[in-house]
Amino acid sequence: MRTGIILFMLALVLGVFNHSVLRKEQTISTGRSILLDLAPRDPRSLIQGDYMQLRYRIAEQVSGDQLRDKGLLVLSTDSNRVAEFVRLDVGEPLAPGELRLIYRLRDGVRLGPDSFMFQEGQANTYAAARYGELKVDAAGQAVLIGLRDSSFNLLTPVPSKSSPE
Amino acid sequence: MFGPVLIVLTYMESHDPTARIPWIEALAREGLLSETAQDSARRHIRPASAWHAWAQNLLLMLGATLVLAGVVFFFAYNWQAMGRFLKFGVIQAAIVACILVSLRFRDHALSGNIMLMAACMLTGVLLAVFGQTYQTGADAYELFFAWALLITGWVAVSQFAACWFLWLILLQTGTVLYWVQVAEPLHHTPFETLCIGIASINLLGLIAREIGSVMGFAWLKARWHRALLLMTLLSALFIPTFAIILDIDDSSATRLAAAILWLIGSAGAGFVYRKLLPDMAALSLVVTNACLMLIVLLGRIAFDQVHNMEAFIFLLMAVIILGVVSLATFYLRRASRAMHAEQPERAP
Amino acid sequence: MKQSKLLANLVSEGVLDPDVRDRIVEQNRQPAESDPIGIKILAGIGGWFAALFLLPFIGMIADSMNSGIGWLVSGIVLLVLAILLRRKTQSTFPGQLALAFALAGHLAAVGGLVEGLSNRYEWVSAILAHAVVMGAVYPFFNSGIYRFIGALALGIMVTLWVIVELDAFPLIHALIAIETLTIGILMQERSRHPSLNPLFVAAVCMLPATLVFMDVTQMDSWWHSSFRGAIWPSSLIVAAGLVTLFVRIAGGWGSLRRPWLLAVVLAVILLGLFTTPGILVAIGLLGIGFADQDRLVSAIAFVFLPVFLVFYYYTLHVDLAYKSAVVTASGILLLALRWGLRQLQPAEGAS
Repeated sequence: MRTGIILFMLALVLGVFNHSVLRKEQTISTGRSILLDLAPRDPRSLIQGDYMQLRYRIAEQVSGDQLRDKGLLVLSTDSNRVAEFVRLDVGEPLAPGELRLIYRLRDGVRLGPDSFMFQEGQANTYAAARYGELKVDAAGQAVLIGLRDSSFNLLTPVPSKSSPE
Repeated sequence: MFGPVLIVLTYMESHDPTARIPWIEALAREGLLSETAQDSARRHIRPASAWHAWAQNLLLMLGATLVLAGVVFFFAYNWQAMGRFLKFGVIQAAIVACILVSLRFRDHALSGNIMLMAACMLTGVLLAVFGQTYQTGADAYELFFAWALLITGWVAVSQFAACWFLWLILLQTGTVLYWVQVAEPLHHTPFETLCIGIASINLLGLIAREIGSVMGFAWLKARWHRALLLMTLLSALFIPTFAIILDIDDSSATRLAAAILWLIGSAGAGFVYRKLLPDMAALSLVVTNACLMLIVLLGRIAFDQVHNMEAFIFLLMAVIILGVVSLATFYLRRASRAMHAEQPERAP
Repeated sequence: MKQSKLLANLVSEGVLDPDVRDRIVEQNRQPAESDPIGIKILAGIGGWFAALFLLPFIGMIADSMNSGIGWLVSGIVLLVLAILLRRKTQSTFPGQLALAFALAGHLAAVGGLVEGLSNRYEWVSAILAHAVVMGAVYPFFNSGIYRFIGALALGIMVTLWVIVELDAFPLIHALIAIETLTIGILMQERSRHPSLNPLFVAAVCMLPATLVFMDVTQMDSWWHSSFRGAIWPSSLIVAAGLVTLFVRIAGGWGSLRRPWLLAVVLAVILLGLFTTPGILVAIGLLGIGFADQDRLVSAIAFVFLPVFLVFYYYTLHVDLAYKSAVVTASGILLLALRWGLRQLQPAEGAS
């Protein structure tokens, strides 16, 4: 009995987890890539290591009474894939080039991922971040897949281990 | 930092018919035991086999703690060179291994429990790495709730206090974070509601613990859980009650509710741990908590009533404190003696 | 083992006279005169706050005289009153009053002494004044609470003095050596003089606390970035203390010839050197707590162990990858040691 419960829970934990991984991977592989303008602000979390807090410029442009706890924004992208805010989504069809992105209302509008975690000691590399690169699927779910600098280069960790100060 | 010490401390002393070394030392001090008799008594109480078992348990707990801490540190480093699927695979394999190994031990043996606990911890590591990989930073409360939820089944069958302890901490951390990240900014939920929420979690835990202990579950015999749950419960309600006394004009309905709950909780706990489940340490906690509140209340009244006599008012405060604390210690000493008389054979 | 069974064993071994045994049994019927710890804590908190509120009143009297002398004189008067009160009666209210008088009198006397001494060395004069007053009162004022608070305050003051004022990192190691030694010496002595017990408990609190202080200064948010240094001397000091403890438990230095004890000793030194000395302190205190069946000491150890691990996570010097490797390897070493220990017969173990 006890063994049964323990094994059943094991299957459940692994199942739930891998299902979540699958969903994220689907967003990454089928989603559309956009860049969001950043206003960066960096501490260490208890069990996840070093990270940088992100604030998206678009989030600062959105305001108004129509905002709900959780909803969709309509964005359009320019030739560099940098996204701009168009309007709040009220269900009408999208114009060509437009896409939807989920927002949540917290202390102001929050767009999906608001922090970027990186390998310890790489803070200097990511200090140059200017854009966050998101993969957005049709439902507006987004995964932050990387940071880019002002000339749109993807920031990658320096291979040599930089010494911690 | 000293809070937890005080809790564990409260169990230092209680009537104990089992021979203990402090008793031996006291006898030796009175000249009733010679040096050889003292050494011999020590060997009887702490034979080589006891040391052997102690060392084994200590090594097991420390070793397991360090290995787990090492695993946490490893993934917190957030290796870029290691692919995400490799990370997921390694941690999941470790969880499976822990569960399988724990099943190989006799039910509820310490080693098996520690492996189950390790699986619970690794589940948290797995979720943390998930968060790192997909940058799901937004709502950290989700991580703690998901973690608590996923391990609920293992915790429920574990019969291991440390597992429950972890589970309760996760639940409460999640609750606090939910209040900080969602409830307060979005719904302007008052702080008092959070306090009542935390108190409810601890109250449920405490009730479950007492029922289980009365039903005779051996793993619930240790009394540090009781003190910890009771202390968190009373402290959570203490803060809003304290706020009412300091600023009576600014008392919302929730704050008032919390204060009433504090009153009921203190009185109820006092009754339970004096009459139903006599426990000197728990009773002392309740009384100390009530004393603090009473002193603050009387102090507040004194400061309101007396003006322009600063030195006098401080003297008055000192007298109030001395009076309240003396009354409380007087009561506790009597209760302690009464408990002795009622149940002289109570084991610690 | 029940008390009666133990006494019977001692009698049959011939180390205890049967008459004495009967006296012990008779004495045991009376309830213990010592308060449960919960009452001690309540009384301590009450005495401390009452003392704080007494101070402004003393100040009024003191200011009517030359202020420094005034504080000193009123402090001494209060201390004498406290001692007399304590000698006269053991009942609740006077006892509580005596404690408040003693603490307030202590603070006033120390304040008066500091005022009278040079202003240039505030820390040193405060520590000296505190030590002098405590030294004078300790033997005469029979209250564990006063003795504990006094000794603990002394330890905290000296530690803060080293960290904040002197800003000399190596002195931390000296502090840790003194605290380790104090614990070692008092472990032997306190069973003979119960008045030393509060001092022992204070030392047991101060040793891990000093290490935590040290850890805090090593975090990157610490404001005094110059206060850095190698931690290994402390590790060695604490390891030496721990090894001495083990050997004592195992029954003398001759027992070092046993290979498993040598393995334990080596493991301890390695563990301390590579991780954090705090872990060694926790192990040592758990050992003392088990040997003397002192739950207070065990409780302090259990509380500090996770604190050390968390601080170790946040302190700099080395990155998480290194820490992870070292901590995991230490854990595996301990588990291996346990496996080795399991293979031995209990009879061969220490006593």
